[in-house]
Amino acid sequence: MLQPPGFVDKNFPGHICRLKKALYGLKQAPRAWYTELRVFLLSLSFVNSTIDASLFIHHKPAGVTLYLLVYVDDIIVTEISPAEVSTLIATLAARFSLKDLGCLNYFLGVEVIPSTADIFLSQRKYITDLLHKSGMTDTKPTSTPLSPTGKLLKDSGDLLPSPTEYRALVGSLQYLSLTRPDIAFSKNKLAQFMQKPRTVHWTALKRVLRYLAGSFDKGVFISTTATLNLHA
Amino acid sequence: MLYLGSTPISWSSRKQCYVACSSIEAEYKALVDTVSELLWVLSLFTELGHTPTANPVVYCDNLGVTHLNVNFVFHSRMKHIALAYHFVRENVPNGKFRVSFVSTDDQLADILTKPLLRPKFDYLLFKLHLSFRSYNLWEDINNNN
Repeated sequence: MLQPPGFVDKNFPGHICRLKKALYGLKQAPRAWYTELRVFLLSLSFVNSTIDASLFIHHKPAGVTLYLLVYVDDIIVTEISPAEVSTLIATLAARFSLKDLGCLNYFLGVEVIPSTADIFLSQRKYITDLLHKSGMTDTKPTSTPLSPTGKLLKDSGDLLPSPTEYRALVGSLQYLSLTRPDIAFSKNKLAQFMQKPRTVHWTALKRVLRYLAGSFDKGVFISTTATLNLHA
Repeated sequence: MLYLGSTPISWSSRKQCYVACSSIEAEYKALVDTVSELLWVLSLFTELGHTPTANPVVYCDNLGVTHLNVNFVFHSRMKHIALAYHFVRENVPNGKFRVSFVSTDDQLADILTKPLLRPKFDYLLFKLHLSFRSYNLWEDINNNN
């Protein structure tokens, strides 16, 4: 690696350091961490999924299957019997320092609320934070995210003086469509004007935020009892 | 838009990077994107050790496209459609999934393709199983925390 700024050797400024251990914050750190975790999980006879590199599956002989989903250093474990899960957590805790947060209720900004017949996913907090950030907390809600009349065009209206705020908000909508298919279309439409946002696009964006203000606690229900058939 | 049972599990709305000469061509391309996603979900299912109870059905609101998938005809209007897009047809005869027609009124994916008026929008929201938690429930949850 390059010599860290402020610690450059005056006699040998052209030299590079030999890396003995990957440290937190370095370019190589995520990869090193993934390898470390992967090797450990494989030693526990987990199988790395071919579909998704961050999914690990362990089929036990008794017919029980453990699923382990990794997002950098946040891990979700799922299994039918709670005993198996706690054994696994104990094994992991012996190797890494970790904090068991109990039942899943908040992951990557998505609130997870389980009940008897379904699981409810929502980004309620993310939306309220977004409205706060954009100063839209006390607006009049609308019932649809996009006006059905009036087409959004590339070159109508004046250019926004600073497009950064527009881009940041559309970026937030991008993440929000994780649990909100209803704004997926308006998000895509607004994102088409990221390069040169104009006043009309800004108005349309505010309408989406007003729609969100009226429906901030909407989310997706995942039924735990539904049949497993796919359709599209 | 991909459903597992009654729950939407995957959706996307994007502009096609391709100029279509006919509506069939545009819908056909959209079908290809859907089917690619579907095949991915199917392989994920196999890996997780679950098999769907029935073969998946893909609904399409264009009659031409639904026919195109079972009837291997070629004519001047669709000569130019790139060969890569025909992979959908290969998967239909081997029974991996079925393409079925649905009228525009019942097309759930409309919410991802056009701005809608309120009645239609609310109807589709209902169909999406996208709903509000009642306020009492939120309060219960907050109290428990």
